[in-house]
Amino acid sequence: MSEIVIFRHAHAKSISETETGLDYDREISDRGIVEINDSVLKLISENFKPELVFCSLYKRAVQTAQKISELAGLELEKITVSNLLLPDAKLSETINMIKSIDKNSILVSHMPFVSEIVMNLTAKRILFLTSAWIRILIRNDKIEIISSNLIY
Amino acid sequence: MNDLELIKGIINEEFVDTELYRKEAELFEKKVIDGQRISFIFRKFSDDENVHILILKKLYKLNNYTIPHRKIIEYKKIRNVLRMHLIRETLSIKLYERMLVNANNLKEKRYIEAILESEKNHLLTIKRYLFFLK
Repeated sequence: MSEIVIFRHAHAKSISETETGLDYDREISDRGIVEINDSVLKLISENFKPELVFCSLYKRAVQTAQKISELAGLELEKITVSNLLLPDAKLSETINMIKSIDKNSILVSHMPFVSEIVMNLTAKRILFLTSAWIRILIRNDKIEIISSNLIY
Repeated sequence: MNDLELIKGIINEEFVDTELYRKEAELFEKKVIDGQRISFIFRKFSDDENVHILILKKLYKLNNYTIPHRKIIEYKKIRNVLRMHLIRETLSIKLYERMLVNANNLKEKRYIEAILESEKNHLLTIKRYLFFLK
């Protein structure tokens, strides 16, 4: 049994603000930092204690994961960067990976991929604002939504 | 005022803010033209303040603390509402800054810093709204 939080990365700067002009290099904005604070505080207020954090390779996802870890008191070594959380990852492989996680974890990824993950796991169509999350309990084959923040 | 009194005082004020933002969100949604946006923001602020209460109770083992009932003055005009929040958020920031100085460990410091950032963001948003009202 494990609890998984599907987390959309925080608000990011525009492509024109990157040095390379690549979407991949977009960093989280000041607004994004505030968003993460509020979002993670809500998780902590629910007594959720993450043991691991997974994120995509994109800079904004990595920075979001780092901020989450910092606030949750997790060491940075607990962050795993995964190809399976990239926006164009193969959904079935990502789902298998999620189902194999046996520790309370936070997964940081992108829209619309986070919605597709949740749709696949819970059969619910959900839109994520930046720094939004949904907390899911995975017990054997049973999956249930426990709580959420800033989703539609 | 000792530390515990300060913390309880902050919890009481956070509760007032939670109630105020929630009620004002309802009011603005009905009475302000295109009020959905500000209503959404105020609902989120109300949720944020409630989260701050939960964090403080958890951090200082005050889960059984009962917030005393207090009559809350509600303003109906948006300018007055924003001015009142400007004052309340500024005071709140000062109190958290004081708490931060007294923080004893890393976890406490981390959480208070995060709440402080949240309150600063509330204040900034209120200032922006007030600016555009003028």
